Amino acid sequence: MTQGEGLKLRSVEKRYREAAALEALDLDIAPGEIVALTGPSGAGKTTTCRLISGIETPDGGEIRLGARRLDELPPQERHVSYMFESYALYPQLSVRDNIAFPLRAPAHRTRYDERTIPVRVNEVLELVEMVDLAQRMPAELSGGQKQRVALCRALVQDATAYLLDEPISHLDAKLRHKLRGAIRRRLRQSGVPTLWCSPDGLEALSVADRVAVLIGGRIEQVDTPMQVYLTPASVKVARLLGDPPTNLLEGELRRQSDRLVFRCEGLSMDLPEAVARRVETVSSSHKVVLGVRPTELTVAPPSVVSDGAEAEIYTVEPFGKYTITTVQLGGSLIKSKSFDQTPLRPGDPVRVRFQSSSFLLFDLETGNVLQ
Amino acid sequence: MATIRLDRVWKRYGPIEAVRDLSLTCDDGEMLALLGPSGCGKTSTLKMVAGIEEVSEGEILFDERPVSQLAPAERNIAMVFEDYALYPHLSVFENIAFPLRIRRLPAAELERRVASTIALLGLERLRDESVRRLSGGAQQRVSIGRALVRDPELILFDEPLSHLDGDQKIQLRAEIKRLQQTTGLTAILVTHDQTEAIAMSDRVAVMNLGVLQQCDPPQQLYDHPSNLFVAEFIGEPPMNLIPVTLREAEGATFADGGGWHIALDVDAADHLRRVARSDRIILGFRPEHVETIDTSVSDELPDSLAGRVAWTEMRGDSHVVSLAPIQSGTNGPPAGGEQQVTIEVPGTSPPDIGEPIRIRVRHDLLNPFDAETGMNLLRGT
Repeated sequence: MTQGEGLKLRSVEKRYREAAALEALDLDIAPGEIVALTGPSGAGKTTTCRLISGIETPDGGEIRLGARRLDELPPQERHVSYMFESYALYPQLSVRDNIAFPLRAPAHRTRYDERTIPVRVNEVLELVEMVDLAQRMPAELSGGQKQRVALCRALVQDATAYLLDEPISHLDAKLRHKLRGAIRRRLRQSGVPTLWCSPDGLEALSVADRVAVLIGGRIEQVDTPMQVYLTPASVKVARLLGDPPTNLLEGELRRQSDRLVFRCEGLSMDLPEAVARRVETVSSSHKVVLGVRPTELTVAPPSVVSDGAEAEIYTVEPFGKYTITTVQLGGSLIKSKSFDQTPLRPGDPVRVRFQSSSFLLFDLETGNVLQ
Repeated sequence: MATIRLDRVWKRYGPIEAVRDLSLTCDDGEMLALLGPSGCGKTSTLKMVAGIEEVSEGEILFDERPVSQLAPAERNIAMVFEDYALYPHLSVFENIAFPLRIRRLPAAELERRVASTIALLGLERLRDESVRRLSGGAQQRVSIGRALVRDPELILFDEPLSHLDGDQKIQLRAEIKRLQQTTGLTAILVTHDQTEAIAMSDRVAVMNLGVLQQCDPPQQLYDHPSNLFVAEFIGEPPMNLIPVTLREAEGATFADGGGWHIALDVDAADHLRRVARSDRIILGFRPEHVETIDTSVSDELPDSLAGRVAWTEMRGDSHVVSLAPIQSGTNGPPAGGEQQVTIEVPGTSPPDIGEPIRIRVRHDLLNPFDAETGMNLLRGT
């Protein structure tokens, strides 16, 4: 294991015509660290990869690897391994030759011994369970198989940094589970920085040492998976994370003697003391967004519970492992996640109870967390 | 709407058998999912039902009327495609009205039906927008509207959510489910995404290599997969599958394998003795069907297992933990090597790597499989 150097992005900007694709992007990835870059499509994840790899040039800012200015080097001298979201396989080359290709590139001629190349290629093929398909041509592969070849081609190289743009999105659940762990262990050992892009917030939480949430070309939050999940910095972040994501209710805070009450259409509830303490300085009648995770509310028919807000079943989705019940409360659709099965049907009247000490509160105007 | 029945249907492309002897029913008012990996035959099946591909052998029946010789236009089927396939230059209203205009419906009737479809899908505010300017989720709603407005006998959904971003996908998934439940749609959904299939459908037909593996309600499929393929394909993280040897000791039955010694309850053991053809079987259990036991309460419950945390992964409100077996006494390393067990633990704080954990597998949700055929030994009995 060689100790690599950290990757630093400082005030990196990119515009396409008039539109800003990335605005003043700052990001640090330590040697051996995996940072997951997550956000909706169009957020700038792929643009970030293209700038680091050198396929595109930033319009401002710096990209450094250790003390060196990476953005001043031609792409082939950066030795950054980049897995494209579009796979970009060579159609005329077999699976095996596609994977070996970067090892035989002119820039690497002195780095890899022709005798060790088959060993390296086999090793990554085994990792993705594709040894049997080594002689196939890309046209004979399914989408998921192509993605695995592209992943192999990125992992087979020794690199100064790895950029993986949606590396496992088209694989089946079993292989995704295996590869999340296997790739993470391997990249950690490599001792160089890794950027792992995924629109799937859950995947980001499970593979990364830190998660960077990118929305509309701006970094909204960079934190450990636990911090991003438990204390999202803004409404935008909260909306992206969780399975399903946090419910967000627009309403108003009211102080009534020693109680703090949240009110919105169809709902008025006392906030628990732990939550009230967090927002002691917030004035009465402050407009807020209340964040309630799907596990923090329960839904039951009125025959079972007599208290709680009145609502109506919108739909019930049983997932085997758990059930997601969507209810219509006032003008909002709210999702509840529970671990038992329910006979409820669309239109059934229900009572909703909110129970948690970790509700989130955001300022309605700025979208930022209140604390 | 109609009851759709496939009767011993085959699809051959030259020497390749894409669908083999498929018999399936989608009842009136039912949402049936066809689920499987690429190449499983689900899309060929959909195309045969739609009439885009010919049936090589067998018959497809709508309310017991054979339709395999009918052209697509004669089948009264509507399709919703993954890429929406809208008319980009037309408004929301005109896209939905399109199939009715082709049929030269009287203006008042057309207006009434399109308006009620638009209301059903919550598209009122977008009625006159050009579809080009809509989000993917809204475009797919328009495409569903265009399918519904014709009042078809069957709606075919072909990967309807695969081009949508996470939040739009979750929202539309719930909307389609609600629509199907409230309006009694008969629908066949083709998807490679198990989450979609399980959440949206009344029953799921899992296919592999052209062969139907299992067709059951989602919970049944999840709790009692009929064979190893379904067991591994459904569920994330996947089901634990451990090759074990059954062993009698001190009046109890144990399943030994991968370094684990799992005590079976009496009923399960009796049953296994009757149906298993061999002492060697594969034991399956889901990660969330494993309880962790507080070691301060009891260190040595007879049916508990000791493991050590080898790896953890955060999944939002839970953690997935891989456990390596802790060998007790003088057993030494297991023949055939050690196998880690994956468990899912609720809560946001993970255990430390190396930490010992005691677990117990829920006996009511154990699935034993024949090691040779891969069939679930609890089924069909």
